[in-house]
Order: sequence, then structure tokens, then C-alpha cells
Amino acid sequence: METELISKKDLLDLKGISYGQLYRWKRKNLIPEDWFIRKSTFTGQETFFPKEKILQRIDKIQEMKEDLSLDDLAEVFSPTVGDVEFSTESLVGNGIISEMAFNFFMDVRNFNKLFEFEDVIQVYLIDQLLNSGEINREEARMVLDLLNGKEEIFRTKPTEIVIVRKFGVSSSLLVSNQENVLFDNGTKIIKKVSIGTVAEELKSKLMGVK
Amino acid sequence: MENLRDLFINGHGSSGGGTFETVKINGHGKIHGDLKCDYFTINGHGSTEGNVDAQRFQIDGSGKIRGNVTSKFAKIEGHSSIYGNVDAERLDVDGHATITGKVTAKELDIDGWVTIENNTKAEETKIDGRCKVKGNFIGKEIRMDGILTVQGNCEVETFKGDGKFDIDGLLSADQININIYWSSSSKEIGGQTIIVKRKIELLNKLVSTFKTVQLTTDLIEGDYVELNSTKAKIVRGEDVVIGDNCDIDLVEYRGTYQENSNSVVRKAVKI
Repeated sequence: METELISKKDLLDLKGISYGQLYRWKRKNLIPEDWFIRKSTFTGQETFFPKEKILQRIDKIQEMKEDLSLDDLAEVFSPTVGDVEFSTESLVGNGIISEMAFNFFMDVRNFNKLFEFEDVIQVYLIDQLLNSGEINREEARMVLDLLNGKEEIFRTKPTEIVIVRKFGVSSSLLVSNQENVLFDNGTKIIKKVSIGTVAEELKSKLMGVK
Repeated sequence: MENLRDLFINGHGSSGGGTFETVKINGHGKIHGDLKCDYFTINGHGSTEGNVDAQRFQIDGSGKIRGNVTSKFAKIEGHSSIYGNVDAERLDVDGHATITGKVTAKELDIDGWVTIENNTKAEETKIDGRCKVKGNFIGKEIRMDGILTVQGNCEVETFKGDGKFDIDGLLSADQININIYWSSSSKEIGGQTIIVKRKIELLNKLVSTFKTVQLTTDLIEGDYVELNSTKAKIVRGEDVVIGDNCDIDLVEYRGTYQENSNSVVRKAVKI
């Protein structure tokens, strides 16, 4: 599938932003380097962006830049999982994660406390998945098993989780570095979710809470 | 504080490294191993095979460090090759230095000649000598009065001063305010305010190099762009002022546009 592109000129017009802002956001890594796509046009070199991604990102930057510094924003958008402070009480109390998901996680992992931000991501993720009704508890358990001990991978590399079912049997995969994964016809992809996106969502919620 | 010993090497001595108060190499000293000390200095032909962690680090003679240097204040007056990374609060290069690893510093002050073969991150940089960075240069402010070469991108908040620069990638800054002294170049330039002036000195007029000294670039994009002595393919801006001695293929502006008659602008369009 071809990704729809938008030229830099059209982007500035559409969003009412300036060159100065765009270059500043790029410097602060709010917009990833690989979203800048260079193409030759009749007027010379022009820069294009993946339209959907950049529009979403700019909406988010504009919405959040009132409350957060650019460096905080950079932390929110960083594709890898960084350090964010949290406490279990505030997570459940503020409705960022549900008590049910929290208990489920504690039960599966045999923990009595959330230790790392990586743990919080996992609770948040299965909370979302269970809540949407896309997966059942058994599958959530499977996802947690899959992620167990893989923190280093999803902390440092862009990673996706793919949950598939074939003939009533589910399985899950951890895919890093965004390579294409293809399945046979009988396999149904139940859910594909990028840990980076989940982390971004979670980080922006956590920073909103502060 | 524990009482630490000093290490002095005056002749052809060698040592296995360790923790000291002061380490002074005056002759042909060699240190095999990691060093941690308060003050490290080389006056002769010293070398180390290991990392150096010194509050104050100074090379006056000729030094070879085969390892990483961590220091609060590092100063290179003589000749030095560092085969590793340098992490310093302040790094002064008054002599000659080659650093093969990454450089991270709060303050970088170049009066001499430095080649950094990797990425460089420095908050405040002052270049009065020559600075060559073979990777990307990232920081807050660069003040130029010398020569800067960057083989990657140069991304700061403020880029200002006189001198000469050659950047193979993008020069990006909120404020770019430069007086070019010798011909300079950057593949692309982007930011909020971009002002390029031409420093005219009597000597230049006499040698009549005035016309030939230009900033050459493919693309300039900024909110306010004011150019002199610039040769560019495309200039895009909100407000664009083309001053003297420019040669520009295409100007695209959204707000206002001014052009001086002794510049060549092949096409200017309001978009």
C-alpha cells in the first residue's frame, strides 16, 4: 500500500506552522528523521512527509506544547521507552490502568509492585487489549509470557506485537525493526500493536498527570 | 578525603595505572592501564593505554591517549591524539588535537586546531581556530570566528559569528546570523531567522576577491531570510530580503519580498 504523502509547503499551510517551528521540532527529534522524504519535482528537490503520521504528530505537538517543554515532548515521542516516574497508586487512581488489569498482571508475573516503566507499559497494553474485547484472558496471559524478559528488546528497538489466530488457536509474535511479516491465508491477524505507540500514549498520559 | 599518592614519570618510565592525586609525565612516560586522578598532565611525550578520568586534564607536550577521557576541565596546549571519547564539562583546544571518538562537552573552546572524527555534542562552542567534525555537530550555541567543517548535520539553537564554514549536511538553527569572511557552504540551511552578511575589509577590497566570496547552498528555508553574497538554488521564506551579490535560481516567499538590483534572482514567486 502506498502511503499518502504531503509536501512541506502544503503541511505548513494546512497546519499554520512556520519553517522555524518545523526545523526546531526536527532538531528536538519530535519528528523522526525518516519521515522527511526527499523527492525531485519540477521546481527542484522537495521534502514530503507521510501525511497521516505527520498530521497526527503535529496536532499532538500543538496540543501538548502549552503544558510541556519541547524536551519533555521529545521524551514522549521517542520511539524507545525512556524513564518516566510513576507510582502504582497514581496509575490506578487516575484511571490510567484499571485495577483489574493491574491485578491480572500481578497474578501472572507474581509481582507485588510495579517496578519499571516497562512493567507499566505491559499492564497498560493488556488493559487496552482486554478492554477492547479483541483478546481474551488466555491470550493476554500469552502476550505477557511473550513480553517477559524481552524488556531490553522493546526498550531499545521499535517493536510490534502481533496476535494471530488460526483454526481457533492463538499465538503471538514480537517483531522488532518493523520488517514485514506475512501469514498464510488461514491465519487471521487479531491485533497488531506498536509498543512505541503504546508507550507514547502512556507517557503523554503520565506527563499529563504530573 | 583519602590521602592519594602522586605519580611522576620523568625519564623513560612506565606505570600500570591506578588512582592518584597528581599524574605528571615529563619524559617519555607510558601508562598501561586506567588512570583516575585529580590532575593529569603531559609535558613530554606521554602516552596511556587506558582510560583517563581526571578532574583537570592538560597536555602541553605531545600526548597519545588510547582510551576515553573524562574530565571537568580538559585543556590541550600541545599536540594530542585521543583514541577514544572525550566527555568534559569544558574542553579547550589551544594546540592540535585529533579525537577519534565522540566529544561531549558543556563548553567547547577552540583556539587551535581540532579534528573530531565522530559526533560532537557541545552546549556552548566558541571557534577561533579550526574545528573539523566528521560526524554530526549538535548543541545550543556556536560562536564562530574561525573555520568550521562538519561532515554531517550541524544542529544548534544559535549559530553566529564571522568566519568560514563548510557543512556537508543541514545547518539548522533558530537564529543564524553570520558574516562570511571566506567562501562557505552548506548543503541546506533551515531555521527561524537566517541572516547572511558579507564582512568587507579593506584587504578584501584590495585583493578584489569581493565578488567571489560567497555562501553556496542548495536550499535555504526560514521565516525571515536576509541574504548577501549567497549563491543558492532555492530560497523559501515567509519574508525574504535579497541584498548584494547574490545568485539565486528561485525565491518562494509567503509574506514580503525585497531584492537589490546588484543580485541575480532568476525567479521569485509569492506562494
